[in-house]
Amino acid sequence: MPRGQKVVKPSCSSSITPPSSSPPWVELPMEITANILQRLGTVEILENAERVCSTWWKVCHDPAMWRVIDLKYDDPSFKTTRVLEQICRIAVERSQGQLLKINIDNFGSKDLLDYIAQRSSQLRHLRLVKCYNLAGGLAAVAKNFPLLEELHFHSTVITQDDIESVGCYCPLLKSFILNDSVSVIFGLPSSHGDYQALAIARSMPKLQHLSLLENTFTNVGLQAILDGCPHLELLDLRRCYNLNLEADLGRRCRQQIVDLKLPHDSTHDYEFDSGLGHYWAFDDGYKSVFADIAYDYSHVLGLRDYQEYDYGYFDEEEDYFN
Amino acid sequence: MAEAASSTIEKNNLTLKSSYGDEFVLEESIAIQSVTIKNMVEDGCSSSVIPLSKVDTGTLIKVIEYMKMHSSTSSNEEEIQNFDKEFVRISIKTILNILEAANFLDIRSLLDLCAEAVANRIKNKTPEVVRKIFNITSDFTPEEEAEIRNETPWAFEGDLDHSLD
Repeated sequence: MPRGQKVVKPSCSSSITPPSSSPPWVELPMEITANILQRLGTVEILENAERVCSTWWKVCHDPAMWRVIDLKYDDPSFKTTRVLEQICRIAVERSQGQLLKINIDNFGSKDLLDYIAQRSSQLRHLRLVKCYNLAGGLAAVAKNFPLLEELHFHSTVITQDDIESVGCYCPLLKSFILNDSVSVIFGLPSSHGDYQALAIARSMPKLQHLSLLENTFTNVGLQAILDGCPHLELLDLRRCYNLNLEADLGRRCRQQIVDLKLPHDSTHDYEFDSGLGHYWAFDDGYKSVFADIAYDYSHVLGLRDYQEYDYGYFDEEEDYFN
Repeated sequence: MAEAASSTIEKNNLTLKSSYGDEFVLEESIAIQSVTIKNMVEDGCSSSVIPLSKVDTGTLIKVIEYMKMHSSTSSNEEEIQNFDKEFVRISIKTILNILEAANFLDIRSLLDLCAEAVANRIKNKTPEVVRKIFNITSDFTPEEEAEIRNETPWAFEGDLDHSLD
């Protein structure tokens, strides 16, 4: 390697010079420090990184650091759920209305959803995983998310009102994932699926991606969706075994949908594959075990409204707990 | 590995010069992964030596090594991933130098690779340990300390520590 050779004078006046040589970490440009610390995730930023020094503390209080919030808990207890909710509130507060994307996994409450909704009018992506006590919560706050584009529910129970409110107040919604197969544990009848499908068809005309995993909806609901959502490019119907796609409706699906996943297609690449199987595994023995729990849950979750629905609309009405 | 500059610079080659005065000839197509260099080329400065007056030779060698690998057409995705993994198995001080070089040369993927590597060295460590690794001195005033404790009191009680592992 030649060293100290004659300097060639550049013909161009510009040269590239960094601000200084090897400054300590705290003198890094703020955007680089932010780039590093953002990768730590919400909990670790709050509990560790921001406590390192005042420079990092300031970086961690920049609203831009909190545009994405990702909070998950695997082993919820009363205490840790409470702490996670508190962390979520702090993170939302710090975003100062700039929150774009939030993932809440395995905790959460209607109060928390309300807190987020009051402060996050820019939200584009909302993902809720294993939130069992939010049913009906979204209906009340959907109007606060006018820019919502993606709404993903995994193992989370929601109501028809939730869907309709989102459809009404979130006109930009283009991606909707609904896996609420756990709802069977909470005593919802099979017609629940068709009510959901009809609500989607009625209120979400701009959808491009729709996944209805392990849903009980029938051809009635699917027909309505194909009519009501003309922009659909991806339609995921895996484990929706009440559908019969052998005749005309199946043909129409293949013609209208670019990326179609059929009821019997494998779900091995679905992140929450292991959480599927609630509905179709529900034989009579299983049902009797869960019947009392389901009754309790349906009251706790405020799902009693479903008992007032006019189930006569569908011929194949069933009550899985009687 | 980088080659020393020769007196005759072939067409479509650029010469990068480190702060030590070492010159490295690099194909233009490789060098323009740096947006800063790309802009200079487009501004008509490509025939000259580009002085990187605050990038030391060791850092420049690493940056060139990275750019060569990432413009290689003979490497598949897995090989590049393995290269990246090995590339950041270096001292934290060296990563800092590369981070700064990647920042002003505007090589986004290299900046992100180093940022991720640094983040991985912070993960699951207490503020005390992080300060030690990064040679940072705590400079909070007592008032600021109180504010931190007030905002996240559980972080000082060890409530979450056992369950976050």
